[in-house]
Amino acid sequence: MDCGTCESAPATPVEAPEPVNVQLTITDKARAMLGDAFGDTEGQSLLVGVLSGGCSGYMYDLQIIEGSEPDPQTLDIEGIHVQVPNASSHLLDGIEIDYVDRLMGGGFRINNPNAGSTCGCGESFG
Amino acid sequence: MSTTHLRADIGVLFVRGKDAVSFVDGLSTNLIPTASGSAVRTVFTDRAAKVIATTTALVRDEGVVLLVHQASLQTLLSHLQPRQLGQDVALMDLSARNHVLYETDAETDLAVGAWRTVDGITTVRVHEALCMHVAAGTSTNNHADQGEAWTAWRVEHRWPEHGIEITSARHPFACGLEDLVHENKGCYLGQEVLTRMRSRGKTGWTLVQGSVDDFVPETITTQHKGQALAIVRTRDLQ
Repeated sequence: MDCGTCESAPATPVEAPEPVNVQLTITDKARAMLGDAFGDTEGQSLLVGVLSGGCSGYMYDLQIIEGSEPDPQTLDIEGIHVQVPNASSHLLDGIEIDYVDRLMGGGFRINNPNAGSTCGCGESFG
Repeated sequence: MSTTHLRADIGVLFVRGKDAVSFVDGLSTNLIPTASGSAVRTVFTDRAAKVIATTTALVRDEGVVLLVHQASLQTLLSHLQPRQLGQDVALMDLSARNHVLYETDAETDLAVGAWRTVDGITTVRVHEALCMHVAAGTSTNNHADQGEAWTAWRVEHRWPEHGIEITSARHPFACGLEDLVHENKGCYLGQEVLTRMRSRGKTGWTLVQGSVDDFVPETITTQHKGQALAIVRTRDLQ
């Protein structure tokens, strides 16, 4: 198989949408829960990204990270430092990060106006 | 005795990068192994669990090579490109640099689900009686047209073919690809539909093999010397 030349083989161009300036909101409940999660550690951010996969084709990637992601947008939402990768910014503009306080199916939830469909577990959208 | 079939209709798509395995795994029906040298057949499906492309995935250190029918390659690329996002994944169409041969009833010590490269020819064993070979360039051998032999093999082994049994109007259970839908795998596009079908035992249609006389003619998709493949309603099998 000709893979020895793969380094020089042209990759299929990625038709990446233009990055958009993300507007996002965090509900009071989610902000309180994030404040607890951050604790007193300095230099932490909330990463809000998207990965491929999940029942609807895209999965949210919500993490508390130290340092900086490659090519991020940084936002400060009422004291919460947020990073959004430019590569997925078009899928995340206008989202609301909420926290649902229930024994089953509770936790952080993202309400996304860009989502045509959402998986039952809330982690995936399309 | 083995028979070789030149498959000019099979393309080679390289998904390169450290996120390649998780990328392919997250969008297709079968569990993609992580070990280099392993291989698995898997199906990319849409939200309604209809087939986008059936592929053979060869896991390498640098990524995953997908052998895919040329007729569905562009559709697959259109499906994958917007999902690359910020992941370490590059898509390379290597079809023009390679050619693919199928060898039926090959004598080999290669295990099913494994591949290796010897003298520049990559061989993957996907079935007890079927190997696929990928070699650089175009074929210089004068391959005889083995269409009838391939049809006979397909009918004997209940092997669906793209454009005949496998179409974008069918889900994997309806076209003989149920073994490529992993039973315990987590979320991927179409998984909720397939899991519901399987758990309720209601797949609607299924691919079966038997005598031509056993089937209503409209259900027969392929036939050879009195034997046939047919897509029939599962309720008619009761």
